[in-house]
Amino acid sequence: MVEVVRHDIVIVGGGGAGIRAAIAAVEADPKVTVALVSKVYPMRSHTVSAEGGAAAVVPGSDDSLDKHAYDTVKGSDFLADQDVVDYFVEQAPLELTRLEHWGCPWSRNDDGSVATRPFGGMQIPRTWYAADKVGFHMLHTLFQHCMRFDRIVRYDEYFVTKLLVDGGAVKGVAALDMREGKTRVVLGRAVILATGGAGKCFPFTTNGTIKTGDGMALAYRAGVGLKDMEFVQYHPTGLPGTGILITEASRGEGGYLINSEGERFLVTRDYGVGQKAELGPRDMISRAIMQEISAGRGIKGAYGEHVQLDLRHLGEAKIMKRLPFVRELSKTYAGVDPVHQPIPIRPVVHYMMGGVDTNVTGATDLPGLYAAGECASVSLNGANRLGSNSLTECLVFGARAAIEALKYARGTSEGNETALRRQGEEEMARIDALRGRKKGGERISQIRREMNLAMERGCGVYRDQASMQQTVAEVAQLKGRYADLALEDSSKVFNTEILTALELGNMLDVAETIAVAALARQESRGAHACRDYPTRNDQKFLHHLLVFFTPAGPRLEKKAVTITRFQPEERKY
Amino acid sequence: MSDRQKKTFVITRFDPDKDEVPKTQTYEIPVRPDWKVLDALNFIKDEVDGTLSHRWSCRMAVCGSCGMMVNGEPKLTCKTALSDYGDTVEVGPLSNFPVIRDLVVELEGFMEKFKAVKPWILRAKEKAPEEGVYRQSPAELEAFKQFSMCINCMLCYAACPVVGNEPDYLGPAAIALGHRYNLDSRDEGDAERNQVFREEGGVYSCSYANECSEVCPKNVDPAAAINQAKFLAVVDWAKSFVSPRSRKK
Amino acid sequence: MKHLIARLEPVIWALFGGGFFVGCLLMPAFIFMLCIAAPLGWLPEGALSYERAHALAANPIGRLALFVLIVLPFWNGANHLRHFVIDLRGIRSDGVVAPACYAAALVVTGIAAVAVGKL
Repeated sequence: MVEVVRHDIVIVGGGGAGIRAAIAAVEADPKVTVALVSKVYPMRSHTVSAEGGAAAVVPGSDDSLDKHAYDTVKGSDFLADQDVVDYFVEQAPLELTRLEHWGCPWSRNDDGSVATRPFGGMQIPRTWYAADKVGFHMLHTLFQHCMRFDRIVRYDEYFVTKLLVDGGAVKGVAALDMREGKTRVVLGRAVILATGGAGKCFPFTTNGTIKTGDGMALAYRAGVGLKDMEFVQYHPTGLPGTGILITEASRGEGGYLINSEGERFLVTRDYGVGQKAELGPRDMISRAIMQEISAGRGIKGAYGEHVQLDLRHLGEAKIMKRLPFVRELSKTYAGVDPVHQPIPIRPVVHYMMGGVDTNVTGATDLPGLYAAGECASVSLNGANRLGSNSLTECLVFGARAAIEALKYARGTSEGNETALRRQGEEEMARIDALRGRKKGGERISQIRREMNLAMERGCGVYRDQASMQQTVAEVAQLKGRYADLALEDSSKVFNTEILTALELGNMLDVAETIAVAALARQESRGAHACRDYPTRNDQKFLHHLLVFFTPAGPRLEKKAVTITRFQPEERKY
Repeated sequence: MSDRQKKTFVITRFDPDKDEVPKTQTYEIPVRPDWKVLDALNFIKDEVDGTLSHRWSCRMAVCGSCGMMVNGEPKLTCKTALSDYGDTVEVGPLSNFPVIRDLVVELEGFMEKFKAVKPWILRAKEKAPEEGVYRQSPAELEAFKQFSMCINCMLCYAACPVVGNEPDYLGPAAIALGHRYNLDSRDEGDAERNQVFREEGGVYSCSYANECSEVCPKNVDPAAAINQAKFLAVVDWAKSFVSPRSRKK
Repeated sequence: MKHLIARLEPVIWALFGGGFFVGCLLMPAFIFMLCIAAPLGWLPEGALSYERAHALAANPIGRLALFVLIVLPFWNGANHLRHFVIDLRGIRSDGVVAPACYAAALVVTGIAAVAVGKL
């Protein structure tokens, strides 16, 4: 018999968005209880790895909400929904202030006010920071703060494997309790997905191993559309080999990008970033680096060609004060000390602009299902996200989703427990059958490697129709082979092999939606740069693409983009 | 594979459903010169033995998942270079914790201690976000910043001789965390936390071994936090006799 | 007994810390005066005469200083010894060792009080 627990709201994912949602829910209603279900202890969530900062207009500065909105829309290559952007920029300062009240150690000016730094694509320094460990401090502040609420009940190291739907609405989840290896049912009148991105679909990524697109896959299989999946952000500065992130703040603080000839190519050559140079948006700088490498001005290393990030002119004092983590990472993982040597870097998969399709309230088209953070596509980021908007996004839309989910939950029933329990039991049987299954001869690591390579080949910084077509075919074929997966570990307690297998299944679903959407977008916009269609085509493609699951394969649909104040214009800096 | 050399890994294995006590298993694998210990574990998991269980995520020394004993010392395996070791490397679960499986240890005890120190801002009166941020000078930030850098990797608990003896001891990371909030200029909860610090298993259980600060991969220096907390908690206690107001607080 | 000691830990620690402080700060001065300066004849004639020393010690402040100087280092030693034994013999020995160490320090405290009082 499957064990069943019941709460008012179930949140899947314990990172920035998930914890913010949990706190918002218990603060808004003194009676509700929230289940915070996470496959890792919340302080391990990948929010922890964000480095550079969180964007919000500083009240009383010469910045304005309009400017933040414009920068965000332009950065998105006009594919952001502008009603969403307006709500975001308005809430951003309140959310970052709230975090300050909760103890976040934001770096300060001498007068005790919060310090800001410049960031790519932002016309004014509006990125709040805590040295270069912003995600770490935000996540730990949130996690520590959430400890004060006994009504936030944590289910740590529970891996959600299925959304439970009754009467056309989501009423809970089935989750694998890693510690005991048992499937359990966590019921709630609304479910919020906050599981983060899917960078691990790619071989070379800043993302931790936990970022396997779980929430996206859960929603997709439940019939919800995934939106803007073709837009995969390559961060310009990752360490070759490991893909470890070297924050954009290193450029915000004045770092240069140089090629093999020691030339600041963003200044000396025209890559469309103009005066902004190293502070151009990520999509453009990543393309510039790839062009430098193809033009033979890359530097050969043990892990392919790269260019360099030069911080030497900043001096040791500034590096230690503002970028100590960059120094630690460079020394430990690249063997260079940025005080004395330039850091080898190359573009690396960093962030999914796409995700579970939601409106500005975080609601999906499936009643009772909400999403926030990187796993959602609320359409703040469009075709390219600006650095430092995503940490703020987790807070703004995590909180909003919780409030809306709560409103919805008050007016809906608990669902038929017998039917939901039966679904949980079916799920338990499915998981038990997979554990230690000897059928077939496919290895997890082999399929994952082939998927990674296919995604890199077809959905890299530059894409072309032929390789995208090949990737679509390869991923479909890998999904077939996945059915023949052989597993060695038949034990119950903390069986990480079955976890890895289930994650791989999620990634294959997500990878397929990325490739299919990328192939369909026959233009170049934001992070999607297609060699066969090198320009933006507003006549044909000024809309989102939704990918829906069907047993026969992914189905595409268009969705209008909301344009209010800012009309599309040529994106030049 | 030409740049690869062979190394032998002796790994502690334990499945509570099968084993009475932990045993070791030996794997010989080719490693790259720039690999960390974690890379070797992942290679074994992916290519040699899918039944090996360990925790990891960020592989950049900030998520705190991958703490283990490497040749008997607590280490963050993603930050520990294989080149620092000889041909044989022993990897086991963190000391002083119950083992769930293989290299995975029980963290629930720590989570309770973590909560016990009230790691959140306590104030008599809270501001609304619309009223803006609290002023905090760079010096006030500096006063607690170091103690806010803990990633909860648990190496200090594995190294601490008192944690091994006294399972109820709050331990280095939890005390450093409580102390971090006590030092925060925005916080007014030090009397409450000092109460916790003075209880049985609180700061005075520490035996000044300093092992916690030796093994800390983030230079948090929990030993300093504990010593400062011992002093402040006793001053606070003495004050409660002199001034009834501070007792009430 | 275990719980009593646990409750008194802050006090014990304060005595221990005080002993450490007194030991580090005053002992060197003491040693310098009595073991170096006096034998080498650096001190004025009669500076360490019985009468002068007795007058200094018997003064109320002198009595207090002497008491603190004697007692606190004993508490420092008692606490150190206790933790040293725990490190060597494990926590289980603490049930006997802690009361023994602190009882010894308490006895010394009593003797010191009487002795200083009788000066």
